[in-house]
Amino acid sequence: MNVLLEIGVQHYLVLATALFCIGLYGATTSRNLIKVLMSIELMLNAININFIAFSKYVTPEALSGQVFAIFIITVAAAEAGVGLAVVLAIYKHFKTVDISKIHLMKW
Amino acid sequence: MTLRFADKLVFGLLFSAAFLLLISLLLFNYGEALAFYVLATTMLLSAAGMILVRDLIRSAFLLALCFLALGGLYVVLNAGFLAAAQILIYAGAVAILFVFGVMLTGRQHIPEHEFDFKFLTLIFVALGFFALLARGLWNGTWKLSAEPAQADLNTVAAIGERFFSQYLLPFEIASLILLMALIGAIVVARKEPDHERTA
Repeated sequence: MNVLLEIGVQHYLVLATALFCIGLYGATTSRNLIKVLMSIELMLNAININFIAFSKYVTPEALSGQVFAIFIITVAAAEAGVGLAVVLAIYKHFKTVDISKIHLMKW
Repeated sequence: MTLRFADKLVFGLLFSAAFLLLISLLLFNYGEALAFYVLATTMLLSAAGMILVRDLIRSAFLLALCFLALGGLYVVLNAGFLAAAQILIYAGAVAILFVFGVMLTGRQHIPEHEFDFKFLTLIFVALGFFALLARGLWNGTWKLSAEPAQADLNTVAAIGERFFSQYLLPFEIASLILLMALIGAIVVARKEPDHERTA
């Protein structure tokens, strides 16, 4: 019981793993391109939890984990913007966002 | 939906038990554990709902709720600046960007995958990955810092100092990435003018 009430770094790591696996499941099973992008955002956020938890529990003075997390947020925002632009271009071309119907590069 | 008397009784008992549990956690000075569990439950439930809900607009707003709960977790983790950035960038900008994406692609109905062997394999892969990683992480020994973490949330000044001394080059490259993403997104998503299409 005490293990569950004293929040340590393990709690955050397991939580991040759960979020990452939810994102992984969503990214592999959904058929909508936008939902796949959302699931990838979930996975990136799971990585951020890890960085910030380690920043608190391992190096509280150096703050390197928080700085890394800010860079990840920057790159994730750029990825979301470019990804949605690509989705819109695909939608203009195929008139659908269903992954199983987009087979230009499949053979 | 009509509830029978027995259902009301059961729900009432459950709610009062949960309320008593929350109050006792607060009284016995486990505020951090309480905040962690409430925020983590909200986050995981909204993330799972985002995957499972059919309607894309609803899943975009559940994604925003997930990001908000994550911002609360950053406050628990003494990262005030990141909590603000999370709420501004993710819950504010990225979630609304997804709402726009859903609206611009016209909320067409896409049938879900049928429940076949491949689907089952993917569920098994996700669950197995979680079990493996969670077991390893929970039983692992971590080289934690000896002194307790500082409790103040005012990390903005320290982060700013690091950005302009130790991490100056990555900071500039990040701004370059944002500029490239901005121009790239405009170029990819804009409407082609007719004279360019014929050329």
